Amino acid sequence: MYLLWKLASRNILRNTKRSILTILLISTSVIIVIFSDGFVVGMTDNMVKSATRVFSGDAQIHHPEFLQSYDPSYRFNLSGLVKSLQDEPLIAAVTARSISPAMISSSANIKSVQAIGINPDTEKHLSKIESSVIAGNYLTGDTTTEIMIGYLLAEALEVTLNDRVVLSIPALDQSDVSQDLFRVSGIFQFNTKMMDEGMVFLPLEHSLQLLGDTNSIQEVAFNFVNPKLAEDTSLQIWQKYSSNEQVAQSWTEIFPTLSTLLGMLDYTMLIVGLILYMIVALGVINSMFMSIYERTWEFGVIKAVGTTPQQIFQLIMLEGFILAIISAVIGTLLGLLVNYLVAINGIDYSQIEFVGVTIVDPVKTVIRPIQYSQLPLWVVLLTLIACLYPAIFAARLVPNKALHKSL
Amino acid sequence: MNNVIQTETLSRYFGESSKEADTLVKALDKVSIEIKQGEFSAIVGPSGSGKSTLLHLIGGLDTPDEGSVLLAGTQISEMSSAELCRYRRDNIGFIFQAYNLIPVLSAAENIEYIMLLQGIDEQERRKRTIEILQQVGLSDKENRRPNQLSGGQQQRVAVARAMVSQPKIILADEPTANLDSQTGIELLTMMKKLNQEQGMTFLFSTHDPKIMERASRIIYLEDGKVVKDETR
Repeated sequence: MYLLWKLASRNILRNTKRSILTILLISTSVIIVIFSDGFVVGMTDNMVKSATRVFSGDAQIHHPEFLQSYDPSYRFNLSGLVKSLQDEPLIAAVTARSISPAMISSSANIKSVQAIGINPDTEKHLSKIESSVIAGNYLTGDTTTEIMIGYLLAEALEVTLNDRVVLSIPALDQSDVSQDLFRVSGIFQFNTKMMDEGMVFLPLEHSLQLLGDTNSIQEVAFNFVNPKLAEDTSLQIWQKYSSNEQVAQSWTEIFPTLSTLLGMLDYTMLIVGLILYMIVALGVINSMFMSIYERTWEFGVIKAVGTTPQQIFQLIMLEGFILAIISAVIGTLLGLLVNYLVAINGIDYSQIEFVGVTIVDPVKTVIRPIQYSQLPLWVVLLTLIACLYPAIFAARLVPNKALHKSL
Repeated sequence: MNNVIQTETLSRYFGESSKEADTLVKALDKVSIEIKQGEFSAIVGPSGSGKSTLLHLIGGLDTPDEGSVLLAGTQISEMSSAELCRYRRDNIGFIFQAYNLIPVLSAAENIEYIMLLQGIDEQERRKRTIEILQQVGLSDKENRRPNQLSGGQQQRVAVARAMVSQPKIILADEPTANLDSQTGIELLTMMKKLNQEQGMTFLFSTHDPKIMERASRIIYLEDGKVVKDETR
């Protein structure tokens, strides 16, 4: 082994330009793989956060039929539920909401919207409605005339702050339509067309009065202390707050499209990795073959003096291993540095809507142990696999042919 | 004395003979020779006579189309590639026309190479390397790489490498062809001395009259056949 180590290390040093190029190729791929992993994880976290923490919450409780039709008559009893959830140690914030279809009209226009009654005090701890207000004020719950509308809806209705609008909500028993006059107290901007054009927020109590049932609710949303807990299907909370009347669901069930899309990011990462590996493998094979062709006579010599095919195979593999290890160390350090820098500053995707989710904060890369353990080791392993063919080729060289020109 | 090398109807063909084309060349045609232990023999003949081919086949670097090679009673024609490598390592020393030292190793490391393959311990390796470097007159150049040595010095290292593991047979393919006359004489004198002192069997392929003068036996090849076998 000492002999092979000596030969392999000196062979790498004999053509430094080629070795540096090979190391550059492999280490660049390590950097890209580490950055891609950090970015995809950061992007996923960001999208989940944007989808859940902007408005919906990590999880929600509805009547089992509600999400199929958004019919407000599918409601459940609120008594004690919010308090019970607030007492759960894993839960950080809870709020109740009424949701119903409505018509909003101004002197200029009329639009169909979703009227959402919120508790201003609990809502602001769960969602970003308060910070999304671009004009006027967040709801106070003190008056019955306050309403918040999106900026796109305001444009469509041709209204601005303090302008009057009429909200018409069908009563839950379908007997009548409740109407009330509101003054626009706040204009919000989530940068999601569905919300900015199709939602209005009013105090919960007023909303329930318009619906005609102050004891039942359409939605309770809650956030976990750790957002990752929402993906844990084994939590007791799901069973505890589910019954024939209500069902507690994680965002992964409420937004299956987003969940599927995020799952696809893993495949995207795999495809990126495979493409990178193909490029690296071709580069490594090319480099190794150049090195072997350059030394063909040398392999003839060492085989003639007694080096076995197995030892020649080991020599090439060892050269590949040394190159891969050097590259992995350099690539890992640089990859982590890139991730560290991007994690500080982030990449600004804000104001961009993606499958109904607006990315709110800059996407920051995430550094995790896999990036300095498994990922570089995979590149080392795959580099060794790429070396197999050149190593077998060199081991099978016939000494007579290899020496033909020099013997 | 026992035969160290014995070939029986050894043949090697290149090209092919068919209705469409007849490019068959009989590089070696049923050559049967016997070399005894301790001989200092030379295979002589014009270019293309089959000298190198015969040396390759005896050294197990090539496979015969017909016939067999016995080295110290061992049939090598049927050995696998790995078995042949191990056999060469332990029994045959090669000296090449173009020296063929390993460029990334120093003179001493080149000499040690085969002993490392044989698993000889470091102390013994070092001892033998120092001795052989003294014998070939390169004690002061043991750390030089091949590109830092002259042609003659490189060939001395090649001789030392071939001999240091004390093989039964040393095969030398035109070892003086790239050397000036004086260096060639010095090298041959050294090899002859080692042959006499250590009893190793030398088999040369050569055009060089200096080798022919010193050889104890000359085998003449022509068109792949032995045409004359002269013992002195």
